[in-house]
Amino acid sequence: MPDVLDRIGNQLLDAEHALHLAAFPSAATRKPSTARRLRSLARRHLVIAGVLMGASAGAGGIAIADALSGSVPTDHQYLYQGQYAAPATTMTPDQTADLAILRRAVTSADAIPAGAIISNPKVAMGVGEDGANVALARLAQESNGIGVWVMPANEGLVCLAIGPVAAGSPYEGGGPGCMPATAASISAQHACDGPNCNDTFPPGNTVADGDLFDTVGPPDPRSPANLPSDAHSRLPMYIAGVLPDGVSTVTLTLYGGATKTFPVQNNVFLIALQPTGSLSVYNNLGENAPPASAPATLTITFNGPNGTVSKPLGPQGTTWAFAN
Amino acid sequence: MDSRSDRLLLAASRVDGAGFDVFYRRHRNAVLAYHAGRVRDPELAADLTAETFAAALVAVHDRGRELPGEPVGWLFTIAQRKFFDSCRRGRVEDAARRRLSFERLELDDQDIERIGEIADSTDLLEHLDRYLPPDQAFAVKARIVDERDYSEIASQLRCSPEVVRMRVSRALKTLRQVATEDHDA
Repeated sequence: MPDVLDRIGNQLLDAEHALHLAAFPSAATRKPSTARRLRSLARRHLVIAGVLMGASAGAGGIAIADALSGSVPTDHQYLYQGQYAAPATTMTPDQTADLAILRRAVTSADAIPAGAIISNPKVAMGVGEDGANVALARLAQESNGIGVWVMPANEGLVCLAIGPVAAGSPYEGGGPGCMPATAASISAQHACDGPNCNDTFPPGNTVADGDLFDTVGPPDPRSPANLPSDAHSRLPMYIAGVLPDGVSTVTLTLYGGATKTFPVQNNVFLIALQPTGSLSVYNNLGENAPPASAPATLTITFNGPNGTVSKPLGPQGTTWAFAN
Repeated sequence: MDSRSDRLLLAASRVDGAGFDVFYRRHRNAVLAYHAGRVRDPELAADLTAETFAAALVAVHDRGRELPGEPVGWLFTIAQRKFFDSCRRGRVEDAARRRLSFERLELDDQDIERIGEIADSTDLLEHLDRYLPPDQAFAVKARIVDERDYSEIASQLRCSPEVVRMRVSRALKTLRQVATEDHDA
């Protein structure tokens, strides 16, 4: 059992993650899972979450205390008042109309391995606040031991999770990140900024516009349980995103101008990138957030239902090379 | 060992959602030792330590506030305020932990023994000297850690109490520029 200071530290880690997601709504999908890191408590929570989810399914819906059936609590309700969403049990037309991956039946091969992602509703905003149902996840792609799952949540939200498919991987997945499927989704209608808003996602961001993506990288080298740091530096980061039906390729542009086109399969792209360095994006000793003028180091371009979309992806500051 | 500065760690926590754990691990023993030296009760010391870091974390993620220029002095200013507030109210402050939905700490005999070990083995003054610039280290040690009055410090330094007061005042002002509101988090 961890000592008392480790237990305090574990709670601080969980809180740090939740606060970050609240401050950077799009980080629900952008946050590099490298930062999600560590330790036994997350694993313990996963077991607890699994029990809760199992009980929920068995009871036909609501099993988590304070769960809000079919709706999405505000960030404030979720973070500070302990209100959780009940996992989505059905899908709405806006979720399935443009995503073939969600129109097919769930099979046993779709199951997310235990520990692959963070699914504890207390720290995984996509599950606890948005109602992502991991039991309804579809495995969209699997490559080099990394899996990408797509699943529904409440109010027309669609969620993406990326993580290792096998135990013992040096990678640690994050919690699912969610976005409104389309601008017509209920969640898109009341997306807003501010402490009392349903601002898990920024207004105007939708899956249809390519705003739902996530990354997974090797775990934090500071963790004593991990590999030596020099080994980490050789491991690639994987970035995955969800795109609507009809999008067959996506082009990624790196800082410096290099571009490469990748296939989109099962509504998902999965790309490996090797970190090459970092940019000085801070104004003074790293005390402030990167300025708006900080250059994008990853830019995605695709032809979607609303025309050609080109937008920067996080994280800022690190430069990349294509790993494959 | 992570070589990033405390300021960079807090900035990374705010921007990337990671970094506070290293800050915590770097200073947790010192904060625990600080509280243990005051409350003389391991469970209260653990609660105050958790509350101190929880308040610091809330403040770091409040984007309406600047990050502290001197994180260690700022951290101990929060620790001191949490201690004073707890004394005034007759119970350990828990506002920040409630805000972050912390679970209640349950301590067993092993934990209590561990807290005693940490408190006994941690050289708080050495820690402050290591992580603070001289002015801030002096001010924190004299006024926050030792809670000494100005005349006593002046006697030791062989100067007038006014000189000491001004010196400490300047340093504490620097430390509290950010911490003033943070303890309410």
